[in-house]
Order: sequence, then C-alpha cells, then structure tokens
Amino acid sequence: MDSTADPKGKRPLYQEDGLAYARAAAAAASATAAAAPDEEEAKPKPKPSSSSEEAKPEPEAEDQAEMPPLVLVAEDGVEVSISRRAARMSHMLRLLMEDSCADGPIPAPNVHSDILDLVVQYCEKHGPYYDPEASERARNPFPPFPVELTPTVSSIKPVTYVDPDPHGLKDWDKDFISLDNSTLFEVILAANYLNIEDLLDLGTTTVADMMRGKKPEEIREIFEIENDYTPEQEAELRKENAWAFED
Amino acid sequence: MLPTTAAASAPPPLPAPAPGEPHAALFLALGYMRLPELLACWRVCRLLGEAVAGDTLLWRRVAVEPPLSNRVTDEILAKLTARAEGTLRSLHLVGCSRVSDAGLLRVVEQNPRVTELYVPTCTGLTGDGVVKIVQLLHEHKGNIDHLRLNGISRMSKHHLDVIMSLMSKGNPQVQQDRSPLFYNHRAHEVLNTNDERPIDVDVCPLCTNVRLVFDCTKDDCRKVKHSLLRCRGCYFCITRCEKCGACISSEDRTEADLACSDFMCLDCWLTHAKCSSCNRPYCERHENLMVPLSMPGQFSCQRCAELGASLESQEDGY
Repeated sequence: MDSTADPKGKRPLYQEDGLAYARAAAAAASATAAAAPDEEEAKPKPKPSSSSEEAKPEPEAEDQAEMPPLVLVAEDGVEVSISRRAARMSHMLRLLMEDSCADGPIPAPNVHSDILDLVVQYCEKHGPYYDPEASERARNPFPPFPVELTPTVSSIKPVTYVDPDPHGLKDWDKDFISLDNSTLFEVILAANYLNIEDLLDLGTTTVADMMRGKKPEEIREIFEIENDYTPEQEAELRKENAWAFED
Repeated sequence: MLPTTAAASAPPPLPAPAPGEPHAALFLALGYMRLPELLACWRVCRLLGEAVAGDTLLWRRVAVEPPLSNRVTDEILAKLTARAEGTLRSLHLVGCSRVSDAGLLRVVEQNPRVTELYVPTCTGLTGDGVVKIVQLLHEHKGNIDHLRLNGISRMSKHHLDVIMSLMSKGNPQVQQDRSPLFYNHRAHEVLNTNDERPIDVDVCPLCTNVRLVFDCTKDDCRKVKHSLLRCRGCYFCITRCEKCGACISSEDRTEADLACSDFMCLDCWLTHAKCSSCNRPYCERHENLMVPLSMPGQFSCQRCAELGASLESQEDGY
C-alpha cells in the first residue's frame, strides 16, 4: 500500500470486485468471453498472498458492490443513479454513505440532470481507481497549477520513473472536458457542490488554461463579461499593475 | 470544503448569472490560475477584481515565472505579497534578478509563516541573505520545509551548513531525506521541482562548490556503497548524458559527438537519428534545430545545411 508510487491516488483498489463480476459474467456467458475477463481472471493467482493484508478493505468492498446504487435528484426532478463505488469520489456522498443516510433520494439542487449525468459519467469512469487516502490534496494544500509540462520537464526524476497514469485516464479526461463554456461552468459548480476534488481540479484547470496569455479584453470576449469599471478606476488599475502588462 | 477561495464556501450558488457578469465557476477557477492570468482577471470587471484583490487565500502562494520575472522589483514583490496579509505560505521566484536580499527579508518579516521558498537563479540574492532569512524564520518558530537555492550568488559550504542545521532543528527528518537527484536534459530549465526534498543544492564532493549535485543512473555506479567512491558530482565536474543521466567516460565522449555540443552516452547516442552528412544527432533539448531533408526521416544539422547552401550558391555563381 505504497501511496508514494501513485501520486494521483489512481490505483486499482477494487480489483477483487471486478474479478467477482468478471468470473460471474464469464461463467454466465459462453466461451466467447473477451480478453478482459480472461486477463482479470489470471490476476487473482498472485493476489491470495496479499488477501490477508487486504482483509479489512475487502468486506467493505464487497458490501459496497452489493448495496444498491445511490439516487441523486436533479433540480428538474429527474433521478440519476450512481453506483456506490463511483459515489466514493464525492466527499459529500462518501460522508452520507458512512453515516448511512444515503438510502433515500439525495437532492442536488441547482444541478440540471444533463450536468448530473456528465458528473456521474466521470465518477463511474474514475471510481474503480480512486483511493481517498492517497489523494494528492491531502499532502499538498494548494490546488495544482495548470501544468502543460510533461513530467520529465517539470521535475528531475530517476530513470525508473513510475508512470503516474497507468490506466490511460488522462486522455479520457481530455475528451470528457472538451465542453462548451456554459456546460463546463455548470460541471464545475456541480463538482464543487458534491465536493469531487478531481473533477473540480480538472474543470478549473481547463478554465485557467483557456485564459493563459490572454489580455483582459480577450478574457472579456471569451467569457462574455461586461466591463463595469469607470474609466478612472481602469486607469488606476492599469497604473498599479503596469509592470505586468508592458509589451 | 476545499481551501481555494472564500467564494467556494458560500451557500449553494446562484442560478444563471445576469448577462455580462462572470459565472460563479470563474471565481472557483481563480485559485488555479497563475500570476499573469490573475492580474489580467483583476482588470476584467468589478466583481472579479474584488474577488482577486480581496481574497487572501488566493495570495497564499505567489509564483513569479518568466516572462514576468525580470520585471519584479522589491517594491512590486512587497505589494504582491502584502495581499496575503501575513498568511503567505509559498513563494516561488524563478529568475527574478532584480529582487535583493533586503527586499526578500522584508517580505519574510511581514509573513513569518512561509513554509516554501523557491528562489532558483535569482542572482540578486546571496548566501548571506538566505541565511538571515532562514534564521529569522527559525526565531519566529516558523517551519521552512522546502528551499530551492540553485543559482543564487556567493553561496558557500558554511551557509549551507547553517541552513541545514536550522532546518533540521525545526524538522528532524530533514537529514535523512536525501533521495538521489538524477540529471535530466531539462535540468537547465529551472522549473518547479516537484519532489519532496527539503533543499536542492549540496556541496559537490569534487569541486566543493555549492551546486546541484547529481547521482548516477548507471547500475554499476548505483551499487557502489562507499560514499567516497560514489559517482556523485555537479554538472561541471562529471559529464552526464543529456538523456539518461549516466556518467560518460572519456572514450565515449570522443565517440558520441553531438551536433549541439552537448554530451550523450554511447547507448543513447546510438538510438538517436543522425544528420545525413556529418552523422551527429541533436539531443532532445535541441531537437527543434533539425533541418528536415527531402527524404522522409532524414535530416541535416544546421551547420551542414548552411555548408550545403553556401556550396550551392558558389556553384550557381559560375
């Protein structure tokens, strides 16, 4: 359980669950099972040795897999269900589950059902790899800067560098977050309400990236914001921060 | 809730904003923006400006990078850090040559709870100044966790000893945390080194200057137990491969010639694409200097391309 190996906390934590499902699916389906369940079946062989270590999280994992999914109610009354494993990504839902208050419908006011669908999609994709303890935020109190640099550029790492993205989630994230501005904003607000750190980071760094290298006029154009400064205030601001805007 | 901005802890957000007003999500994004964007947002509209100017949480971490670095003077730095109202935690100044010891000391006096101070290549700072700063923080029972001092001027072993002893008094783990540092072709571009080490520089065992000291990535070198025989030295003392960080022997150096005058070990040299005329590759850092030729996958180095062009023009002259 070495959290330093996976800085982003993306580690297949609930492989055993996946295997249980896969074995059941493989048994139920015919021998035309896809490669994936076969691979996962091959994995349990080295696992039994570590099962004693994982004895504690295992019963919890099995419980969670068996319990019914949570139901979130959007502002337009539409109900969206989210599996328990995916709901762990949301801090708020996690607390509700721990306090056993998550059995009935959970209201999500101000979140439209389409947005809620997107959020649930994100959580379902990232859920199996999410480990709350190894989350980077616990170690570093500052939100991450929008980093365009590849890992080899941003820090001096040894040759035996561990890939921080073993499940190919970064590319999926990039496709997922290419939304129009208003949808993106709504997703950010929903992630903030449900307290999903990873999605909030993803959304806000995308917005911050959009602003890189832009002047105030350009920012106003992109986000359709009106300039409500008086000319005197503008002149004062420009004087104060003149050093940053010399061209 | 997340400690980004005060706006984040407000009750459920308002529904659709009035047209022309910034969306609530923009306020959340403020915490993720770098300094130039933050200053630009300040000037966008009144609401955003108030959020930027008034929120001390946004200014807890100030990171000045190029191209703003050489415009930042002591007064500007003082103004920027004053926005944190004493709660500044992390200060990154990359290549700010106009910041002096006195200016930085004033900033630290106003904000004694600084835990992270990255000042690589700030040539206006000296070893004496940094020692004074660390001493001040120690007196105020502050906890300086991370220092990056590569590239400041007049730094000696004595300064480093004092700094290390002060840091380990506050934080007993500091001495043990000496994970190896490997050379990388981007080591010259001093960006945020994200590793957890408390301090980046060390005394080079070969030239006794205070610099970035790299360990070797070769298996044989890594196995050496005795510290005196270990392959460890600064950039000037031990030639290292730009790609893999291994030490390069003198025979390899003559064999593995590069078009950009950097150094590469023979193994990495063999794998790189070479100029079709002089058979020398470029390292990754200078890949953009390759001049593509008409045959796909072939390229020429700058010098051979110029030579070829001048020969052609001579022939045309006849």
